[in-house]
Amino acid sequence: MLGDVQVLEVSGQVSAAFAGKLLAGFGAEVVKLERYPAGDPTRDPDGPDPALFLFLNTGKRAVTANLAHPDGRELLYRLLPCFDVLLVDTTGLAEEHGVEHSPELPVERLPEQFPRLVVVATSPFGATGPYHGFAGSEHTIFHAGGEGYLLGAGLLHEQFPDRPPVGAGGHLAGYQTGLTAATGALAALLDRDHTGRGQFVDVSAQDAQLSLNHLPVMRFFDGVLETTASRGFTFGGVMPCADGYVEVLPLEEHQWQDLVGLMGNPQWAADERFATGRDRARHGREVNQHLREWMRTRKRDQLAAIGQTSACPIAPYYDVDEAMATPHARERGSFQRIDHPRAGPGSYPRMPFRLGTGGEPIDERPAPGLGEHTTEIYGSYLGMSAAEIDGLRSRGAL
Amino acid sequence: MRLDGVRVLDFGWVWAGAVPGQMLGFLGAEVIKVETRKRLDYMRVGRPIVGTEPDPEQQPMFHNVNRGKRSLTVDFRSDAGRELILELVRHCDVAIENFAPGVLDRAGLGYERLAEQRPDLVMLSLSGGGQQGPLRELRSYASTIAAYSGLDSLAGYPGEEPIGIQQAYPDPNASLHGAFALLAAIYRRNQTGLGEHIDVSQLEAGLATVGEAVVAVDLLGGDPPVVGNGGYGGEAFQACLRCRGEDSWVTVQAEGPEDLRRIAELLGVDPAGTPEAIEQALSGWCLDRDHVEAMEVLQAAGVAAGAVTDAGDRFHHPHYRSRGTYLETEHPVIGWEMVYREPWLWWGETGQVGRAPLMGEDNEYVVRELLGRSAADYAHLVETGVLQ
Repeated sequence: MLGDVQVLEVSGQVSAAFAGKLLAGFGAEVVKLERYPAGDPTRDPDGPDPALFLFLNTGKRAVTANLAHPDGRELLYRLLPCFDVLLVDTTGLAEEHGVEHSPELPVERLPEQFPRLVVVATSPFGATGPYHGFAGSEHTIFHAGGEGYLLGAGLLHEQFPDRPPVGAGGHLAGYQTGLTAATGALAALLDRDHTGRGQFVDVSAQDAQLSLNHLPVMRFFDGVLETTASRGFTFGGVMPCADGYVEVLPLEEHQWQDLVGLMGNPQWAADERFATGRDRARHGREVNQHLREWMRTRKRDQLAAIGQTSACPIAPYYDVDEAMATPHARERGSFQRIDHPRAGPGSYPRMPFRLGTGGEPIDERPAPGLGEHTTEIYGSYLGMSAAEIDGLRSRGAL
Repeated sequence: MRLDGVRVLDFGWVWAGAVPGQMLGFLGAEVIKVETRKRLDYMRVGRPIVGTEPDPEQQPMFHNVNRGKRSLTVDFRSDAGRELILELVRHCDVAIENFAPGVLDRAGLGYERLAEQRPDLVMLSLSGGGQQGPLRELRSYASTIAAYSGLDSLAGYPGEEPIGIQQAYPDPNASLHGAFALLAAIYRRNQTGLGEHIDVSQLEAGLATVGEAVVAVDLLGGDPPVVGNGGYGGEAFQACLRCRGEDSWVTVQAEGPEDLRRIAELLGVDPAGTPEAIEQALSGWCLDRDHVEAMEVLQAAGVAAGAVTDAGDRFHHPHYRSRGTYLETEHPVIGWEMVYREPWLWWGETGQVGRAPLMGEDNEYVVRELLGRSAADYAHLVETGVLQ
């Protein structure tokens, strides 16, 4: 779909790399420019590249440049007019490359020099405002975005009121920021078709996070500040069963009735204290005790099968390997095998889009090695000879 | 604007279905939300802000995921309603829906039928399990998807019972994936004139955001660890530390020796101390400080720190004020209201986006102006309950 789009990615975190992966998945040519000599910080300099790097960089090609070296910066300036989009996860390129005493390349100014260039910059708190330039990591961004504050709520909070809020695992903040950046890149490209001009798109990881956080914010505007003590559905949730866990959420009346039927219309459920949704919410802890008691003796997959045929949402609590092994994932082709020359063959999630008329998204190429395409890219984009490239290499510019 | 001239027929509802249309609206598209009074959008249901009667116009959440849209209230299962939609789609570039698979087909409005009217239509179908596969009929909330996709299995305190991610993440996640795919397909349509039908499964979109765990499980074996507030290795330490006041916390990430030195110098302790010793000293230091102050002092020293904020902290904070993260608006029914702005700034600016529509607010515009139907025809559609 994006076969004629050229993207240059300079990233050190999840967000810009994920945006690049998404664009590559739809066929854009994505060139990842890595700092010399260490490479992307999500690589492992001493061993094979970790799973995070392998996943985030499928479909890309890789070059190196040393932006601390004037010749390295010159290379970047020569590359920029060849590209439609620059994806970057900082507001200063030189700084990103770990260079303390070299001039910054302020990315927000680049479209002034390269009028057709779309610059999409992700940063922890955005390119403007008092926190502009503040550092951030997945851990700090997730928690600052508000969802961390509320994680570990409900019953758990009653049991352990003094524990800190907890992270959700993975890199949810990074992925949301990357998605926001990728949509921003396409929107700016569509705009360029009208105006002929590129622009600077500022994506704050905080803003991307906050848009997940609608409900607590709505309640706040409504005069109620949600806390870990008050958060959460008042009944339902994750419950242990005989051989694992299930997630149960019978919010609507017909779902509740279905669940009561499945449980064989137990006497407790007929109690008037549980008559309406509001009543059940008021006595949520008791409802949960009864539900847990019933779930405890039953098998997870049996409960899940019931959940698929009844109106009541009951979901099996899958580990990642179980989520990969479902017949549903097999039939849809949710995963693809990619053979990486060093890491070997492995399963990767396919781009989560099935297309009706235009074929499947393309993302089969394995993540590139450090500088794997340096000669090829500088040759084809800048017309440099092998001797010139060797010269730069010997001067430490790449 | 970026999508000026693009018109969207938007059947999307609740949260995951509403957001892709809103995103296109943020970018300048005209988005026509198709609604029915027979079954209200779940986001229009809830307790009222003014008075005591239920009112579909008084739901802030609806206002936040449907900004800038128009509303057409039509019974599209009636013959005349279906005809109206088939006529309308000729004037539209994009269609969006998140009903259970097959619902639109049964109403005679599936992709094939719509694309007959508009061959270069770009359409997004978004559902829990996607349009194909054994779980296509799965009835799901976001929490169902979080359990099925393995997202839940990574959350919680290490070594304890799982707690799940306890938020609706799979909804906004799938809707952002949907918006991205729509933009890519619009881009290609502009180049080639080809339409597209995009099938997004919330389950797969969830799996895509645990991608590194998928790859790790397959290459390395074993389950990915539940790390809680810890990291995946490499960092000196990362922690969530108690601050002064009730339920007040700050997160800190010390990447390596450089960060340890910065923290030690700030606290006046031995920079050669172990990461544990420095973390210990820091946790004592935080106890005497407000969480936002702790964050700002640590950041000034060059350390990645984030105050754990609640909705009120962020709303009142100068940073979010200065970036206009929340917009003050006037709603015709509930009056003053705060909404989120779009998630990008363009050269530091935000787009001009109107409020969410009242039900059927644009019936006349769509039927009379866009479709050019007569006043008598319009009145008849209203009388017969086709337009509600």
